[in-house]
Amino acid sequence: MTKTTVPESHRTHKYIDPEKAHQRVKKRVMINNIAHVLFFLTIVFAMAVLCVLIFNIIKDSIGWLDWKFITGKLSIKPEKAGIKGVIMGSALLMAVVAPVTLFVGVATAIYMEEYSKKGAIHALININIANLAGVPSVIFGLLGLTVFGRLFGLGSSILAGGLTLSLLVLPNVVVASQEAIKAVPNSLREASYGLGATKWTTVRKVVLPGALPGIMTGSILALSRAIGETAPLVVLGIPTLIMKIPTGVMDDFTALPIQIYYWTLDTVLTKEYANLAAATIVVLLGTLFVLNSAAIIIRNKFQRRY
Amino acid sequence: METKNSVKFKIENMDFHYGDFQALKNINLEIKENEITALIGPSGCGKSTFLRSLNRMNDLIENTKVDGSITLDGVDIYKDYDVIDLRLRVGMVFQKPNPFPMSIYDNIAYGPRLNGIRKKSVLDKIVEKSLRAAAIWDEVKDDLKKNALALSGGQQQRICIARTLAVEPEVILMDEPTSALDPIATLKIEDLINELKKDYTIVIVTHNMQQAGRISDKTAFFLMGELIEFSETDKLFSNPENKKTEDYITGRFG
Amino acid sequence: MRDTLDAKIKVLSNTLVEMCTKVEENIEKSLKALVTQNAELAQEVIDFDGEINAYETSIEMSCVNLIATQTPLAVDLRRVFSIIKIVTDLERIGDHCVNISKVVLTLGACDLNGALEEISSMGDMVKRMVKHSIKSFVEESVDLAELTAKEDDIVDQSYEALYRNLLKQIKKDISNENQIIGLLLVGRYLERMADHSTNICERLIYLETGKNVKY
Repeated sequence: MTKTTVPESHRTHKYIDPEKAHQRVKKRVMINNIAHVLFFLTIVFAMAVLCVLIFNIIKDSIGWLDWKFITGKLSIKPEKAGIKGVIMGSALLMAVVAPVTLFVGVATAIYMEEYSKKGAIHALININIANLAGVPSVIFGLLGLTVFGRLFGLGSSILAGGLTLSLLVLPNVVVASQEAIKAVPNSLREASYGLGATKWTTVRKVVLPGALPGIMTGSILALSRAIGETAPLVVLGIPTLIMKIPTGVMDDFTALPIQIYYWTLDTVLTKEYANLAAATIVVLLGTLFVLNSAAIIIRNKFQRRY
Repeated sequence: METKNSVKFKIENMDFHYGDFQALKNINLEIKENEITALIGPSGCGKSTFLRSLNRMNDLIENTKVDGSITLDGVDIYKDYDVIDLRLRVGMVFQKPNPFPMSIYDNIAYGPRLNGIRKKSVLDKIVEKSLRAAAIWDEVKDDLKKNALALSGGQQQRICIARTLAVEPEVILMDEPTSALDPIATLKIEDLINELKKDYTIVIVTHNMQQAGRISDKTAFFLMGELIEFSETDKLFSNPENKKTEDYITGRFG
Repeated sequence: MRDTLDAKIKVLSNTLVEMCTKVEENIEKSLKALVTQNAELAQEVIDFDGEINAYETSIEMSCVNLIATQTPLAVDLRRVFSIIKIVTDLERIGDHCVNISKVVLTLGACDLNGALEEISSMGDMVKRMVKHSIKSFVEESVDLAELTAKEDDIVDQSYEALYRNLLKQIKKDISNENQIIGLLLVGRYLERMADHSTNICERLIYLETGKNVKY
């Protein structure tokens, strides 16, 4: 910056001394640059860690991750082991989680936003839903074990696991749906009421279609969280090794994160289990990547339509 | 210029409360058939609250209370009407154009469908008739399947008016219908309102005093929840009786 | 767009034309009363003036309401403003008809044929000017307005001639002084009417061009 001399008579500043201000500019520009570099370094650090992680996993999985691995049955012998049953387990789990969370979550959100009176109780419930989202997943596992596993006698079946995971991600779905419903402009509801519609008609024809993209995004993200959860399933007592491929929701099962967990634990016994775990991680990461991409695409496509 | 039209809405000793706050105090007013009645006044004077009482839109807000009586053709709208029946007779157009995020056709057909009209040929007729009455048929007739949100603000507002007309109301309430529009679109809507007067009774809230002058037959001036003056628009704008009205319309308010 | 404003201005113009016809009628009648020494007709003119005044009030009120409610701008504003001014001119012309009629009532029988002829031709000219000035306004014809305004000079000359003629007569025969002064006044009134017509033309020119001209 070059120093400019302004004739005394043309000075317009009453309080700011341009001389002093000019001196400060250098310092302020420097601080800005430091901040810039600092923030850049943090992201470099984060990306580096992630890259090392992914690199290691992919390196370990090379030679192990092939079609035979994906379509084969579990086995004690590493070279024979496949994860078809594990994938089926995760898929069936999601087949339970998806409809349950979507129905219960959206219904709760509709009730909270459209029907219930907005008073102290409403606020209290809202805070609790938000808090539930922060409860450690192990606690949900214990709840699932007590209620679904023991009380309902579902044991360690897919249904028990799915319901437990549903509880875990429900708060997220409820909050996301509430936000999506809130984002539907009130003027649209008024227009609908003004034409003689009832509340339910308005919700069905105006609010839900408007909130759907938001609800879908929230639900897919919740699903992707559920698919990666380990702790609640461990608490439920999923058997270590299941040779049988599950076909229904009452079957015993194992799921991707659980299998990764057990194989990693057993690495001390058989070294090759580490490679199996790595290959399974790649499959799980791939699934997560697809799910999250879908969420982002939906969000961008339907963003801000009003 | 006293008109002989019959009384549509009769409001007697009406009070309105939001919780503890009294938004309207002892309002007495007659709204006549096939006339345009404008409600003017500064923000928060109660004019919108009053308008929204006429089709019970305020019912949607919790903790509100209406006292006194509002009758439509002699029937009390708070005691002897189902709110949905009332809204079929008293339609509403809002401040911001608020078409549903669906096609132009579906927007107009929304109300008729709610009332059980399913036949395509009947719906087609209603849609065309409503769009024509709202003076927008020629602009949209070739793409009725287009999303209504793709239209310009002025066109959207006329779609909203058409949507209201589609349920065949007798009264149309308008809450600052042109405040979000540019001057040309505003004048188009004003012409339309003038045209609609032949078949409908219109009550319009406006922040734009000139607009009230341009289009209305009668004007009501509200201040702090009270109805200060209600008379022929010509009279109110050239020679108001009340000092407060005079101060407001000459911009010497407060 | 602005259908209401256009419709209201149209009504206003029509009322103005109506008023103008009434004024023309009164000019005609007052001149006829003068020439034919008809006191009854003169009285009719005087009685009819109330109606012309009522027109003035009503048009003025309409203009005020129009400005209050329709916020006319630019050409619309100039038009409404012009109408207010024109109405005043027309009303004054109407008043002059009354003045002429009052002269007729006090004049009694007189025998000043030469002067009467001059006056009646001057009256015809004024009548045409009034008619044309309003016509130019209604038809928005600047050309006609300019032409009409220029006729004022001819009326002024006629008045001048009449004035000299009557002065000569009064020198000849002092016994007719009442009649002669009466006729002088009539000439003066007619000349004033022509001036008001000129004003109306100037209004139209202002309306069309936005320029204030004086003839």
